[in-house]
Amino acid sequence: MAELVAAIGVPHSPQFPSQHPKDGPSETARTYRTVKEHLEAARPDAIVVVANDHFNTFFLDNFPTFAIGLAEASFGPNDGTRMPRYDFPVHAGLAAHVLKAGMEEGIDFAVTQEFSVDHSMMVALHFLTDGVRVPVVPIWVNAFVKPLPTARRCYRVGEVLKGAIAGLPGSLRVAVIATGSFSLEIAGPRVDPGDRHGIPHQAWCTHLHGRIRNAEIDEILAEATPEQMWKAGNVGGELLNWIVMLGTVGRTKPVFVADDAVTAGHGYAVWSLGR
Amino acid sequence: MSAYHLNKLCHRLHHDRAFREALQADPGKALADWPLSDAERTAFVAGDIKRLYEWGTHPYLLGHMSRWSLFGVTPTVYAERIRGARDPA
Repeated sequence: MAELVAAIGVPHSPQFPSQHPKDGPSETARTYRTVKEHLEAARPDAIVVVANDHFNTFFLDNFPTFAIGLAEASFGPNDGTRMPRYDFPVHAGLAAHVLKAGMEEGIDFAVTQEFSVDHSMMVALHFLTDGVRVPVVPIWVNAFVKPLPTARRCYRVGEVLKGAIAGLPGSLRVAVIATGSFSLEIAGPRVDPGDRHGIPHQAWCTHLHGRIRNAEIDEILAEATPEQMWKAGNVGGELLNWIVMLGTVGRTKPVFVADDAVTAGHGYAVWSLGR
Repeated sequence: MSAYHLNKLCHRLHHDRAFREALQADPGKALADWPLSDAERTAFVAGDIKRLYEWGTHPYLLGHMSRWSLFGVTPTVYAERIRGARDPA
């Protein structure tokens, strides 16, 4: 059967690729490289990316709470992010299997069979792979159009994803990568003076680092209310992408968590799960 | 009042270059067929970021105005105008 070999959480800030050359000396580039080494050691044959679209793949005429991409190939970024464009393979077999397993377990993904993806997936794939040659399965979570799905629902999606991977015949090695921030305001009232961004609640970010490090799942699910996530910024809901990923690891502790003092509203963490 | 068409407008100006250029050239003409109220139309062309936010325009979409400095809304102007805006009910 297929195997979940690694789970990862990283930020997806669209300014990172232009500000931080992949092989450069910055803390951001070095932290992504550390995560990349863990991912490479897991030797994945496919990568499931869990992220929130920013009205670039979907719009409000039809905005899914959870969606999965089922195609042979895709490309991104589709939102003008200053970074290389990647045309990449999609693992249609794994996507179809996760879709079907989801239906059977009460998780009804919306499906898109023709799509491109935005910085929320491409920034992570840019930093963590060499040219996105490993086939990808995109899963989108609504993390910033109210009302958001609950933390418990997102965790359940992760559990179902984990079960789906474990039930796939063959020997596919699968990594799950969630992206997003813990505290971040973009273009809303809580931006810093003269800036497009703000970090309204660094203490929440620091708190989450402790919870994640100690695998305190029940506490995270209880604390990640819509009110709390909004307090952390208008994209504070991106924690939900991480919570889907946490549903695939359960109470396993991470093998790497970046020092929250250098992450400014974000987090980087790795779980090594495979044999 | 739904902010749907304001959101759609901000989405389109980011993704559709020809539309963005039409807006810059002659906003009245470019907006003529959009189902906006007079107040919405006025606020949009004036770059009244605070009001547009308070009516429910999604900040991520509203922020596209500053990416293209539309109607004088540079990133600096945007930050000044959005700070202190109230969250829509």
